[in-house]
Amino acid sequence: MNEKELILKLKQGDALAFKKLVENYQDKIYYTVLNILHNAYEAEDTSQATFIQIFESIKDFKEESTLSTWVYRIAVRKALDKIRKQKTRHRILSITPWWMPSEEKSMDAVYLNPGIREENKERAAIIFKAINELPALQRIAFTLIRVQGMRYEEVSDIMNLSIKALESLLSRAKKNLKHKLKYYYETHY
Amino acid sequence: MKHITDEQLENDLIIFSAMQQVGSPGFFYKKLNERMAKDIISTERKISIKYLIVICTLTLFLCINIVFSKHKQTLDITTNDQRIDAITAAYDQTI
Repeated sequence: MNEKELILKLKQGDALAFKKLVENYQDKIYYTVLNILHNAYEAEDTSQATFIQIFESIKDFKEESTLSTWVYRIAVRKALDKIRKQKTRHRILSITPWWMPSEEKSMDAVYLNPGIREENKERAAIIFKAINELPALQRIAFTLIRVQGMRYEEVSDIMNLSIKALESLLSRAKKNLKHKLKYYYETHY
Repeated sequence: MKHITDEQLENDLIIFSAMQQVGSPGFFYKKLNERMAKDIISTERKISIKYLIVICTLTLFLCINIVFSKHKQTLDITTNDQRIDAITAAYDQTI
């Protein structure tokens, strides 16, 4: 089944076509969202929410971009929503520390990506922590390009940004990251 | 004091090039299907609750209307001409 046929069947509400779509994208979406959110539970929840959104809005898909770009776009938007909710929760937590005490622990927990080699895990944890502190859009752009190795054109389509805007976002992310890592090295070494 | 240069950052980021893709957790499709089924049920419930609220509001509005219309009837009786005449006659007055 090619992409056109798959989209047509999805628009007709074909359950098998939807299963095929999930099978094709579940690993890619989960991996992307995991790299953005740094939390396995949140990544699974967001991936599922992405596929539910795809199922509900496939009829509105105008095929102006590829199916892959559209799927990634929904996943990134869902991840962005999650980051914003986390930040709001974190702000509430800083004002009222007695509020949601169990979630404070989970937000401060060190993230260890299972795909990282054993010898790099310690360094990766430091870098991921620094990435985690970047503003949401910088964090997503940096993750997609530098961590996942996606192409600029692909990411600019997914994030709905021009290449120039994306480059600027990435440059600011690198600058912030250098500052954060410098601070880390100063305090830990 | 240690400074991070572009080169150092790039050296740090090399670790991601050797990173292996992590697959989605087991039974992903099954769990997704269950969640979708739950969502459909909760949406149906929400819709039926909405209908129930609309019906209740209309019934309440109808009840209030009935009560007020009865009250209006009572007012009509009290402003009846005969009764006013009777009252004025009792005071020996004419309108």
